[in-house]
Amino acid sequence: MINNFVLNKRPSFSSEESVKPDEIEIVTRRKVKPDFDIHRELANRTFIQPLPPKGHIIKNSITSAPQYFVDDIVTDFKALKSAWKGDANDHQLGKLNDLGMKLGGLAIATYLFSMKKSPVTKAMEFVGLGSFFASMALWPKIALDIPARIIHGFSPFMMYQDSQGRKKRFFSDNQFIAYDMLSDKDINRIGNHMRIPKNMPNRRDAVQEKMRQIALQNNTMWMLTAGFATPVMSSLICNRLEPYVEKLQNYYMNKKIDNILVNFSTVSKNFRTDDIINNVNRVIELNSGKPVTEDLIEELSDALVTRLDPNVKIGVKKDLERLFPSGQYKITETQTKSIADSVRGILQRTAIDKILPQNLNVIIPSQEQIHSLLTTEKYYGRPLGIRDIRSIISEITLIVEDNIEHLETSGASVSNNLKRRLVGALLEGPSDNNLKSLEEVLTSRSANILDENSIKLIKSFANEMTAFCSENTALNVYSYRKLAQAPNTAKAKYWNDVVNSLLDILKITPQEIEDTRFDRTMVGDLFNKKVWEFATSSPEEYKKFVGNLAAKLSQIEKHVKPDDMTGKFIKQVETSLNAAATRFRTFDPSFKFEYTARKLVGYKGKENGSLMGITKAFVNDNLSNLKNTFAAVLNKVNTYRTIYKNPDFKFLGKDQIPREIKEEITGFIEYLTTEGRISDYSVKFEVLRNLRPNKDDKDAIAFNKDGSVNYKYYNKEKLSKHGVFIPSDISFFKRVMNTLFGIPLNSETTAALADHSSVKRILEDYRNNMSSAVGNMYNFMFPDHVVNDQWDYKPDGSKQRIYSSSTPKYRSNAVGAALDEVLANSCKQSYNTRKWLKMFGGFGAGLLGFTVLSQFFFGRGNNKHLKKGKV
Amino acid sequence: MILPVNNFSSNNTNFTARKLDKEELKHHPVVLLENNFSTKMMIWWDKFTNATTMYPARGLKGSKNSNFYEFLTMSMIPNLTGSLMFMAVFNSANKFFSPPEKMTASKFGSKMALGVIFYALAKNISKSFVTKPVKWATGVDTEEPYAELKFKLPESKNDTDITSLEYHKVLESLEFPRWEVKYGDTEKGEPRNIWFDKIAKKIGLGTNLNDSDQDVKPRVKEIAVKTNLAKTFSSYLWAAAGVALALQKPWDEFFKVATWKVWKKDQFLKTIKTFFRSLGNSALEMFKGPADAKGIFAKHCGKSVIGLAAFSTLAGLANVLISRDKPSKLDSADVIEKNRKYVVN
Repeated sequence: MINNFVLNKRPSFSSEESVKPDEIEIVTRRKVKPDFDIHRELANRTFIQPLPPKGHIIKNSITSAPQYFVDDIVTDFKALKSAWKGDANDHQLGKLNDLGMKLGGLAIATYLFSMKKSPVTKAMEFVGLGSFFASMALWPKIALDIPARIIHGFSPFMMYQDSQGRKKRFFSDNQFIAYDMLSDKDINRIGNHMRIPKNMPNRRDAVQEKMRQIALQNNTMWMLTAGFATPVMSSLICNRLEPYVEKLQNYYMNKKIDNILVNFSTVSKNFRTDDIINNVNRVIELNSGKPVTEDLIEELSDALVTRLDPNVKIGVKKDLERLFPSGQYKITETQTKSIADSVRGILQRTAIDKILPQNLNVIIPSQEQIHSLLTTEKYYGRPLGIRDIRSIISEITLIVEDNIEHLETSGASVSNNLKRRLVGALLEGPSDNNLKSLEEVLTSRSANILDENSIKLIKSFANEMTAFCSENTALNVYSYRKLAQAPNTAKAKYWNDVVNSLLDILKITPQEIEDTRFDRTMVGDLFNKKVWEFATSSPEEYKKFVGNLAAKLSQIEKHVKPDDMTGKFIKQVETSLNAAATRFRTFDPSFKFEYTARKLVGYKGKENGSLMGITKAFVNDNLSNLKNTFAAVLNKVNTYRTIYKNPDFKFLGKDQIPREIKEEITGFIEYLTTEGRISDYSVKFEVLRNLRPNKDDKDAIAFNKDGSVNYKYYNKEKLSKHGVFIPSDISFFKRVMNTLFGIPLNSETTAALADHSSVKRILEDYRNNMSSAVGNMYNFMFPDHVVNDQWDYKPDGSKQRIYSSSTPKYRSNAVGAALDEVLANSCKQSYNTRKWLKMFGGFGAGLLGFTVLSQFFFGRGNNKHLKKGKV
Repeated sequence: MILPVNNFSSNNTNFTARKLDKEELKHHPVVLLENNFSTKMMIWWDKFTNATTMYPARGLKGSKNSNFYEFLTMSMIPNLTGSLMFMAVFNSANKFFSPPEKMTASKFGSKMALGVIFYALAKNISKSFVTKPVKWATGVDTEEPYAELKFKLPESKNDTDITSLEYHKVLESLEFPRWEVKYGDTEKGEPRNIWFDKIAKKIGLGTNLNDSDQDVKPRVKEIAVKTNLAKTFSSYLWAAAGVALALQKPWDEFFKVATWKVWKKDQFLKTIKTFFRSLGNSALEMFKGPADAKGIFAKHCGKSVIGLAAFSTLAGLANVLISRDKPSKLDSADVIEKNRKYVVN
């Protein structure tokens, strides 16, 4: 038993199973090694020598790292297996803790992943997990191990592998260090590095003692600093990695999305689902052979537009209503009894207590009489209109009157009042609301039955809808991923990229951001100041600035690809929707799904309200808002440069404009191009001006050294006190709009945009749009207050004034977002990130410096016996 | 805590299983302690004070007396500072943000801070989900602590304080368990195998065994290893569930009213009440999934985390307990058969 235990074998578990020694037959050894000489063995002592040790220091190198990496994984899983079986050793149990921590970390990251909405934030959860474990491993390497190697000549974090193949830290236990794994050569090399005298007695011991001391100090420092360092380092790694993760995701997302248009017919099939077919089949299965009611039409319509725009449902429903017209009823022979019962019930309820029961029985038409009536007049089985139903009711009243007559001939009398009431109850319904009227009973069954033919047609339609739906989904995915107002679309990424870069391009400093970030107006002023700085700079600097701006804006071609959106995509939308509309009209020769087709492509060339119209509007609206917002930045720069180069405002005409007016125009342009929204153009185009400007001063406007306008009149105290809004001065509005959008781009801007034709085109489109769509508004500020007159010249030589027909939404997108708002948000974001980085980056750097410096003080205590000498 | 033998007071050891006096400590430097909450707290506090004062001081000096126990005990420091740092990373900079952003960032930061606390609580509490049932079912307490008086080398001529008290667990090392503390005191008339007999009976090895200690030891080791596995894995998964719980929306309500001002009775009482209400609602939301969750994964991830943690606990326990009543898987060669002939080397 003990032997078994020593050999790590399990003993028997019960005393009853134990075998008493005297029951075992013991025999002597039968075979002896032929050449075994016990004396020789004892003399050599070979059999009691321990096995040669296999332990060794692990040398980290690029070639051995993969091997150790794989070994570690294998060791971890072996540890897990052994622990599950219950025979793991202490080293293996220690490994389980690491595995458990990773498993727990993975669970947290997965949960956070499920909570996050955008792909980048989702991915960052796993990046965070990885960076946390990486930081735990990297901090001692960077802050302690590398400096220690440089300063002391050895690694306090070196690893060794023992004879059992277990990897351990060489200096983890201060009181058990396997120094015999280090050769004299290694120790001497380290001793030399530590400048321990070469000729001192017991030099190896002295070196080892100093190594122990330094390693212990490093271990302690590690414990003291790791808690502070790991979260900070992990966060900093995440912060630095996030843009790269985003770029990588953008790359793959764009590639995937662009592929939709390139291989549309193939890719769109991937979006096919059988939801429509399944839903339609389910409804048909439940209602096959039954009359088609309004509810059924509603159910079928819902099933047929699964995953489609609800607008399409209106068309589908209309088509189904045409397929199953209402107002058609059917009576079958099986219904005869229920009709007779209904007539009996109505008459009994009406005549109760007013006539003897046996007499009433004579009056009530029998089932045979009703059957005869319906058979004679051939009412059974054919579609009946409401007139037919009313004829049947009249016929039944005639039967009742005949029966009354027959009763009276037998001597009984029926009052005229009762006669009227009985006939009235049949014609107009009983007085008791609980009873159904005869009309209700006769119209209870629709003539439209969901029969085989109609089922076949609906199923074919469902197949057509499924095919269309897969294409439509592919188109929706493409447009959504490109242009939707949602995180991680191409539009959002481009927007963020440009806005964040604007701060750098405009050279806005962190201090300026910090000073202005809480106030949108202050950010606007800062924006103005920066644009003036560049607008009044040297031609080279101006060109460089516009070039940088244009280069950033031109990335719209890379991310959003507006030409693809308005070209290939719209073409594909037209192709797919027109083809689907044609199929809906022609796939069955007996019935056209006309209204469904109209909901797809519109009617008589008008796409309003159709899927085609909506899709095109989605693309155009989102694209124009995006392009125009950033074109406005470029236009502002161009306008400022034009004013700087032409401070006499000659570009507005030969008339000399008073300096005060020039300043008012410039000041208002500053405001409009910074804070202007569409509302400012349509209702709030207000500016405080001097009612009696100094008309004698016709000087050009002047500039300060920092590039800003040196206002002599505008914005002065007098104006703020006595300034008024002058709505009647239409020329002022015209001059402002003309300066901004009317006059051509200045030559320097045009030259700077030479390499960015797409951006130039966007800028020109923006300016034209603003001139025509906004400037030509009938109601620019007040009715008939047009700042950009346009005329329609008739063939007969007459002309007629025309006004912009743009919708409010169109105009809003033409103006784009207010730039001060855009920049203020970006400033806040930039400040927050910078503040956080400054706080924790600074802390991390300080901690790293402190930890590295501490290395110089390690190994210095109690070493007086080690006099430094020549080494 | 360094306890010079001559300064040691038994009054400070009222949490131990046995009454200690300085004489006993001199002769019996290993003392078994009762495994209860009070002992755990005392051990934690003792380790914490040493880990933050004495052990780092000794480590930074490079003392020969600094040992592996001290190194391991010092791991409390990164755990604590790391937790505080995590809270700081998500909260410290928020006060510099503009009001709306500050509110959004603080909302998330507060939840992350709560997550750090719940991580620690769930990790430690959940260990007993495994160790307690194992103790009830097998009698083996894998967490049973003992105190050991260590003698160290004097640092200098004047260093008379040469003792140090360490706290370990009997089954801390499965290769070198401290079996000796589990034997009965024969001088006091206790049977030597008293504890082993009890365990043998409890795990079905029978009674009146000749050498119950020899029979029981490998079984206890097996139980301890399997318990360790279940405890380690499940505690990290419960910790993850703790973090997930802290991230639920209902906590927003708690953070709106939370205050540490104990002297403001009404406000503080409201804080406590809201805490428990938010805890309940959060647990419910985590299980049901957020109302605005899109997709099966987001909807069921919370209950999956709880399920995984519960499964790891139950599977680990089953692994321990199912093998409890089964005979050890002995190799046929290990069993002496009566009818066979054996060779004595």
